[in-house]
Parts: sequence; structure tokens; C-alpha cells
Amino acid sequence: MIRVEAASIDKSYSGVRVLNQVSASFQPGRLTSLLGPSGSGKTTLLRVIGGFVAPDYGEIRFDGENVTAVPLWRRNVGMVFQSYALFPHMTVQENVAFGLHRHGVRGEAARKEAARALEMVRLTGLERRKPKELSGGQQQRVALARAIVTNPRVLLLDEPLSALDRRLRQEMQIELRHIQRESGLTTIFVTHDQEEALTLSDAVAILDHGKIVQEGRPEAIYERPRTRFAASFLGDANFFSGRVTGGGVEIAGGVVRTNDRLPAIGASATVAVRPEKMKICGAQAAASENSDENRLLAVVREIIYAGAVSTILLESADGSPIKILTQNRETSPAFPGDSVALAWSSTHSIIIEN
Amino acid sequence: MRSENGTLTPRGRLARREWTTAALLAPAYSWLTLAVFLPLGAMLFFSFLKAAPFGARPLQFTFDNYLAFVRRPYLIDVAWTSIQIGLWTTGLCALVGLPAAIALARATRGRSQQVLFLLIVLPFWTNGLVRVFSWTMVLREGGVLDYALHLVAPSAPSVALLYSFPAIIIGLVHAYLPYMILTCYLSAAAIDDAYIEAARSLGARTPMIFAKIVLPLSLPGLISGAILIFVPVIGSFMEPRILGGRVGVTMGTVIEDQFVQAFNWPLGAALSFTMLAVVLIIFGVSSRALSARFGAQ
Repeated sequence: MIRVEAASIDKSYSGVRVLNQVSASFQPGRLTSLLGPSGSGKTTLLRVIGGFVAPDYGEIRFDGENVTAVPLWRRNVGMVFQSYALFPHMTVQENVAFGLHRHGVRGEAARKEAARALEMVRLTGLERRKPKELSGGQQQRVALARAIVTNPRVLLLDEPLSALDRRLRQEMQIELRHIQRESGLTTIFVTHDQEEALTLSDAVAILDHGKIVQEGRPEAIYERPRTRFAASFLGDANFFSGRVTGGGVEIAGGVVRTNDRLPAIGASATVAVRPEKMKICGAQAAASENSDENRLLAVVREIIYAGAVSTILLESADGSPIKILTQNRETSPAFPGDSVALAWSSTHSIIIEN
Repeated sequence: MRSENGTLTPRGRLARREWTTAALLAPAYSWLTLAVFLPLGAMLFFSFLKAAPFGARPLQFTFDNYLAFVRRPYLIDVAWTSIQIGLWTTGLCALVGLPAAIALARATRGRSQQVLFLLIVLPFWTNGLVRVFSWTMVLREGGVLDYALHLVAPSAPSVALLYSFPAIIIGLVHAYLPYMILTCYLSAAAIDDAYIEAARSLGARTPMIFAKIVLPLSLPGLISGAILIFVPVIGSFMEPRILGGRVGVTMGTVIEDQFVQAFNWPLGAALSFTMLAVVLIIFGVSSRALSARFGAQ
């Protein structure tokens, strides 16, 4: 298992800076997602790591070895392309064996290796088909088998599931996770789908405008986002801005208490609260004596029912929108037009950088 | 076919679509019938006559014209020359055209690509006779080529390519190269960059990528280019006559002679149809061989 490192990577395309001093470390044998909106540089970072493009500045290291100058054909990376890029004139067997032949594995040995890879992706029996005779999901599996059959130093996946429909995508996510664990390959996965990043990854790196905004375990990022961008790109969040006072952050309608370290008194600060951490608790405006809890008055504007859960859209005293997520265990706790009090624990008030 | 509430029944809709298709196809096929099949049919009719049906002579039918190759064995040599010219021209066009097409499709874009395309299509827009006579200026003894060579190497022997087999090939390659480049370009431009990257990431270097990915995926263009070139080239008569002189006796010139000089239309027609049959057989055999090899493309 290989540790992959990117150190101070710069890359510009015709004067536009796509990657700006990006440094990241990818743990051996783990699956790390590069998550970001389009144009954030995530695919470019993946391509730099794989050797598909050369960085303008910086180093790529595999287990400490500088591979920045190692050409693509010798770098031994497995890549699954967004379009799969299966060779259309070759059968499944020929596609999978292509890399083996280039690595000097031939004849019976190559056939066996290919069969093993195809078994791993559960495609045994389709060896003689051409790519266009396969469904999208099957093509995806062939692409994966072709990428892992040569036992690459690192497995790179460029939004490989984006062309599949929702159901197949969820199925493939589970299977991909399974295959990744089984093969033990250090894997880097590019996606713009936050849900996919959360379900699949051991670690997530969030990119924005050519910089890594935050990296860490998915739950760590979700529970403690550092910036407004990280908070809103991975999951949903309500933001409250105000001035720091002794007890918390003073906003229109009250003081938000938090367990996070507060900036200096008098400074402006923003608090993020995840929608599912807030609940509706009757209409009492008075905060209870329990100092752990935050209270905020709001008016219900709309309730969006989605089976197991409902999203409730509210408006606070100063008119800013608030969104909360409730489980539909019992009957609806409120109706549009109701004045309610929202409650949440101070541990869920996250101070973020603006 | 309308149902009572005025909407079209499924069957009525189908019939209407068929009519639309027929209406769209009709002009093209009527023109083809008029301009190609009728004259071709007339020629087929002539080829079974003893003499051209002009004047008041009665029509006499015969199969003799089709025995020409048996009666006049020198025609087999002539046909072989034509086929050789066809093979050489097609081969050289492929050898020059395919790399050019791949380079155009994969390494150029925007304005420079447009200009390079213009240069390739230029022979299409030049009058054929002018083009061929310009080549005589270049290829004859003391011509442009000879002159240029002696500027560089004064002691070199003089080159007089005019009235030789290579001269015919040079003229034909010049005329037909654009077909090859254009058909190969279409195939090469359709090759996804990701195929190349995928192959490279799997350990393939450039020569291997060319042999295993680019060449096989350009093959459809290469084949259609070869067909587009081979067929007219073995029937060509202008280049063999003007650039080949006495060497340039081909099926094309022999057939032309029958129509223009000897006024033996039936023999000319019969030779044409024999050539057509030979070409069809060649393509029948080769397309079967190719589809067996590259079946599912």
C-alpha cells in the first residue's frame, strides 16, 4: 500500500490558475474523495497525481519517492475515466488484458489475471462481448477491472458513477467500496456529489477555487466544518452572523451559545447549525435555565414532506431563512404560519471562518 | 386513415410516415434512375450488340464482346497494369493520407487546421486537365524537377519521369489523396482522447498506442478511402494517357479508345462491365475478409 502525497502543486491553464499551492496526503490503502464544485480543480489534481498532466510547480510523491517526472506509461496508476474510455474495438477480455500485456504478462498467465479481475467485478462470462454490447453499469465494471488488473500503485476514479442512474449508482457505491477494501489500493475518488463522498470515503478533501479548504474524516468535516463553503458544500447549514459577546454570538433575536472557542469580544463571527440538529419545541420564547440550550423564535413558512423526513422552512425575527430537518416519527410538530421556538444544543453551534 | 374523433389511428400514422419518407427519397431516386441507371442500362444493351446502333443497320445480338479477354490476351496485361496502378495509388494515398489525417485531427485546431484543410482540398478545385498538364511541366526532361535537382547537384544525371509508370502514379496520388485524408480524418477525429490516455496509463508507449488504438480505430476511414480511390483509379484514362504516354495503356484508355477512336461502342461497353464485375468481386472478397477480422466495428 502506497502513501500518495501532493506537495505545493500549482497548475494554470492559459493564465487561469486551476490549482493554487495544493498540498494533500492520501493515506495508504484508504479511499479519499476529492469533493468540490465544477471548476474547483479536483479533476486537475487527480490528473496531476496520475501523471496525465504535469504540474507547473510542486511534487507528487508515492511512498516518499518523487514521481513528478515519471511519465504516465511508467507511473503505473489505474484510472477509471468518467466516460469509461473502454477501447471500442476490443472485447472485454482484450480490454482487461491490455494493461497486462504492456506489463509483460502474456498467454495463460494474462488470461488468469484478467479472469480474476473480472470475477472481482462480477462480470465472469462476458469476456467475449464488445463494450457497446454492455449496459452502463457493466461498462463501469469493465473499466474498474481494467484499472485494477495491473495492480497499480494508486487507483484514480474520475466521477465514475455520474453517468449511472440513482439506483445503480448506490449499488455501485457499495460494490466499489467492497472492491477497494478487498484490493487494498490507495484510492482517490473525484466527485461533486456530497452524498457519494460521505458514503464512500475514509477521508474527504474539499476543494474550492484551486485550494483544499478542509480535509479529514467525513464525520469530522460534517460535524466541524471550518468554513462557510465547507459547511454548505458538505451537507446543509443555517448561518447566523453577529458580534461576539461574553456568552456567545449576539444575533437578531438572541445570543447563540457555543462550546467552540470564541473570537475576541466585539469581533464579528458566524455560527453554522446543521438543520437536523435543530428542533421545534412549542412556542415558549423564554430560554430555559438549562444553559446548554439555544432558543430562537421563528415563523414556519413551508413544510416539505418527503416520507421519512420533512424539511421545514422558517423565518427568524430579522427575516433570515432557517431550514430544519425533522424525522416524521409522529404528527407534524407545526403548521405554516405558526410561531415556534427552535432549540438546539450549544455543542451544535459551530463557529466558522467567514 | 382517421378515426371518428379526427385523430390519426396508429396505422394511419405509420402510413403517413411511410409516405413522407417516400416523398423525401423520390427526387433523389428519380434523378439516379434517369441519370445513371438509364444510360447504364443502355450501355448494357449495347454491350450485347455486334455494332453500334447508329444508322439504319439492323440490330444484331452477340456475346462476343465479353469474350474479348479470351480473344485478345494482351487485354489481360492491360487490365493487370490498371490494377497495379490502382494498388500503387491506393497504397501511397493510404501511406501519405493516414498520418496526415491523424495529425490534422489530433494535433491541430482552429485557424491553422482550417488553412491546412484548404490546402488539402485545393486539388479538388483545380481543373483536372490543368492539373495533369502542370505535372508534365514538372516531370519532363528539363522540367521543374530536373532543373531544381541540377541546381542542387549539377553533376546528377537528368531525371525525366514523364511518360513512365511513376509519373502516372504521381498524378493520380495528387488527384485522389484528398479523399483518403478526408475519410481518415473523420475516423481519427472521432477517437476519444481518453482512449489514448487510458492506453498510456496502462503502460503503452506511443508506437503501441498507434498500432493498437489509433490505427484500428482509423480503419473504417482507411477502408472507405481505399474504395473511393481504387474504383475510379483503375478506370482512369486522363492521367495514364497524358503522363504515361506509350506506357500508359490501361483499361481506361483502351475503353476510351473504343468509344472515341475505334467507334466500337459495344466492345467498350462490354469491357467496362467486365471491369465493373472484377471490381465488385475484389470488394466482395476483401469486405468479407475485413468483416471477419474487424467484425463488430
